[in-house]
Amino acid sequence: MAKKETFGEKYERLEQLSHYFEKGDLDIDEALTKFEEGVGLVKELQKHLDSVENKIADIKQKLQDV
Amino acid sequence: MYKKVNRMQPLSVTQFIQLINNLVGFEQLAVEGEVSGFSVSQGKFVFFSLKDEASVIECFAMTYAIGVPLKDGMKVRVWGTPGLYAKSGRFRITVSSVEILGEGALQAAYLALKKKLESEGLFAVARKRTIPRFVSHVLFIGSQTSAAYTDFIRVAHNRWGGVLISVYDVRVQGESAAMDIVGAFNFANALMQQGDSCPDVIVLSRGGGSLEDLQSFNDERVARAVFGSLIPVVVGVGHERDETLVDFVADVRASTPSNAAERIFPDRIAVLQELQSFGEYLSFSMDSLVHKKKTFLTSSLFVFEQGVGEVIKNARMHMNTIMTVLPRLQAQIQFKKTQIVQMVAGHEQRLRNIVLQLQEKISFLNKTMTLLSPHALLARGYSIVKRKNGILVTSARDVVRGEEISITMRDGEIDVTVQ
Repeated sequence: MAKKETFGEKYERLEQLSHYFEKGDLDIDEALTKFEEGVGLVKELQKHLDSVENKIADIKQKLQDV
Repeated sequence: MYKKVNRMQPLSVTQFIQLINNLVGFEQLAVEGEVSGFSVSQGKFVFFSLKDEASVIECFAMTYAIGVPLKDGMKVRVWGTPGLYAKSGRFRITVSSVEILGEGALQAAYLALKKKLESEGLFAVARKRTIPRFVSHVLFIGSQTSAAYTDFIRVAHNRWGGVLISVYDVRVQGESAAMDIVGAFNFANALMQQGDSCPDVIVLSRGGGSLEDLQSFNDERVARAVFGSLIPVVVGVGHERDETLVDFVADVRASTPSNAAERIFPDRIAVLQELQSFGEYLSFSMDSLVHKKKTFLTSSLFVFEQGVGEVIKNARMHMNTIMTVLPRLQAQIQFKKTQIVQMVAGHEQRLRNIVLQLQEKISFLNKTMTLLSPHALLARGYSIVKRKNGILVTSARDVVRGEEISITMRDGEIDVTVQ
């Protein structure tokens, strides 16, 4: 469950990238890389929200199975 | 006995009261009734009446004997000693302890436990943890068949997706409820210590109810289990006005089960808007950056061109100046050269003239010298007269008779003796 980056972790990364652009003088190449990463994250997160459902797991059932 | 005393001698009032108190006040009695007219004087003295359908008796106590303030209408059981209060002659029970009955008992127990837990720091705001904004795994502790559960799940689905909601079904009222709930928290703590797939937050939730219904949520063991949870706990009980002890211990107190879901799950729509804003901000920033760089490059190029142009222009100007001045200089030099040549030529000429003049003078002098020379004279027939010692005789008186002189003529000498 924890192997893939969680929504929260990706969102935090997006915030970091946003902060990066608040600075004044940036190197174009670096900025472009970060821009692409940021836009990619936005798309990923939007997709997640559009499609994914919550999953419900019954603990007692699991415990009984064990 | 009384008759005996009566016949013997009259008592003073004080003695009478003392006698009565001795008769009735020899042991503590328990009396049950309804409280009315409850009041406290000077923070120390408690006065109230205890009544039933037909009768009423006054009660007096010190505050420490009562423990918790009583309310009019409460059903209580008091232990105390009956007696007459000498100063007023009024009959009253001096109460040593009170037990609240029925609903009041629960209320009092609740208040007492609340005070105790608060003093131990279970409600301290400083220890309350925040829940992460984006959760991945939520543990729901409550009754799976309750409206609280369905409300919670519905709101969760409406707001968000992609979260694992583990449900630990427990009884939320009845005798075993408290231990069920404690067991659920123990299970959660164990998950936390195992490290894998542990929840980000726990929800403890149930519907509303009477004070008796909510008993498990006011249970000391349950309150301590919530306090000891390694994972943050959100409590959402029934309706807004219901207040249980676990509400105070919780890291986050939600007003209802639905509100608990609102506090835990972000609003999909709001987050989508945030993502939209991020996207726009990134694009805008990138565009601005590119534009800025372009503008900078253009202006740099322009400045550079200007600069180079200036240098070239200056160089050209210098060249022009030089080209203009150079011929003039050359002309001047040529002119000076010519001047010098002329000057020199002039000098030469003058020198030559001077030399010529001198030559002429010399020639003239030479001629004159020649003419004036003795030889020239001799040639013309004149003669030079000299003494024997060579000295010239220039006057006739200079000679004496007999002196020997010589006369030099053009073609020789004549030796002569003067007569």
